[in-house]
Amino acid sequence: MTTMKLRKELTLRQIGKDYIIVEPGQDKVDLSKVYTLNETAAWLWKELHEHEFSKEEMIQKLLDEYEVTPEQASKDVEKLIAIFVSQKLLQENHD
Amino acid sequence: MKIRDKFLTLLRSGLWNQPVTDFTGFPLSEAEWTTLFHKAISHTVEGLLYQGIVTLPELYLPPRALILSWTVRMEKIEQRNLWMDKQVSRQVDFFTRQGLQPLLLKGQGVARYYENPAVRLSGDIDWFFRNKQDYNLAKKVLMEKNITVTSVPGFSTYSIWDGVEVEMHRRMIDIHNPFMSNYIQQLYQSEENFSQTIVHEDASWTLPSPLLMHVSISIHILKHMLGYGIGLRQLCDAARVCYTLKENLKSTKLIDVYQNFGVLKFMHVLHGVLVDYLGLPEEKLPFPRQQRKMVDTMMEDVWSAGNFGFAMDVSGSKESNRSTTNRRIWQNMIKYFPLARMEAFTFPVVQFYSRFSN
Repeated sequence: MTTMKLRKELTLRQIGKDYIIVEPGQDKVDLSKVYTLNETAAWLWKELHEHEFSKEEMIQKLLDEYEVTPEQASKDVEKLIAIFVSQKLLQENHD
Repeated sequence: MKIRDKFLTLLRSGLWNQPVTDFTGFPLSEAEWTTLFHKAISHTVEGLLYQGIVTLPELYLPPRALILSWTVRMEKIEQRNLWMDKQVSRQVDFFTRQGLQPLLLKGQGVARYYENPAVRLSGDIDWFFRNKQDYNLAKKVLMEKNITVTSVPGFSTYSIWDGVEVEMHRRMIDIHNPFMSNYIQQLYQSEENFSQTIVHEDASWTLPSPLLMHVSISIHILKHMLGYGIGLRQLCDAARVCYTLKENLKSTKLIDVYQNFGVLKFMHVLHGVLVDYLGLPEEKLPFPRQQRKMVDTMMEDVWSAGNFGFAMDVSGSKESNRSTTNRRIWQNMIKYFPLARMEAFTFPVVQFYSRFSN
């Protein structure tokens, strides 16, 4: 089972309905390095932030918390992992 | 006035970690939010205001672009504070190995009195050395590390040490009245055993005693009120010190100190600003307040000046800025003279003298 871990230096902030993560270390304000998550993704982020986790665990958490089908949960998790990977939100020594 | 009122509403929310409950005047326009944002930066309290903003209902939040910019700024502040904390610990370790134990003034030390220390932005690290020998040794060992140590007026030095601005001081209390020198030295000695220790990760930082903390911050504010002016960050520090150290502050001794310095009237005005404008609960003042007429004037001066008075000198030629600044300094000295007569008189004299004797 492949595990992943979120970068621990990233902080999730909530303002109103927005959940925002800022890439640290920017010399200037670079809004291309500001990520916003929807409510479900933000909830998952908070659940997973301090731990190693697998795709299967993510799916199970969604199934435990929300009324979704396993197929929908699996699709949502795949989309979210794709975002995590493309935006480099995961620690590098995990897959 | 509306901008100032909303600004203070948000500042109080962040300063005391209480959600905003008074929504009078909200929502603000985009232009008003932009003004408020720049004002927050000029007073170096953007972190505290952000803390207040996030408690607003969605309807009253700033425009999204501004939220994102401000959030990025918050991230930078918090990252910088993490880094600054590490620098303080490294410097403590270095000094300890040299047999030195300076006190940490202002900055990262005072931040510990905030609900969330990470949002209080500091510019530099300030160290106080109890005697001339320690001070000179500290200068020597820094120079041996090839760090340039520059003397600055007021019996202090300035360096850039591993990328951070560091000031070393022989004075903790910015009282320039020469007749107070012996009294101040005795005060340092009498408070020595009450120095505070803060454990940060693996390091122990030594801070002044609660009394000296209150005095040094308050007199620092006075010094700048007599000069270029001062912004809200330092007043927030004073409010948090009062609030957090109330039980540890010796009321009678504190009154004596301020009476001996001839600045008790100023202290009542300062405390009035902290209560009336920054929301410090009056029962958290270290001694009972006396009503003073200058409270509103001082608040207006602080609001106009920005951090260390820089906000007022942003336009015009260098010559016009210099004459504007000189005029403002003179006006400030006249205005605050009744509250601190000896200091208003001796401050410029001692600043001049110290250029030649540091």
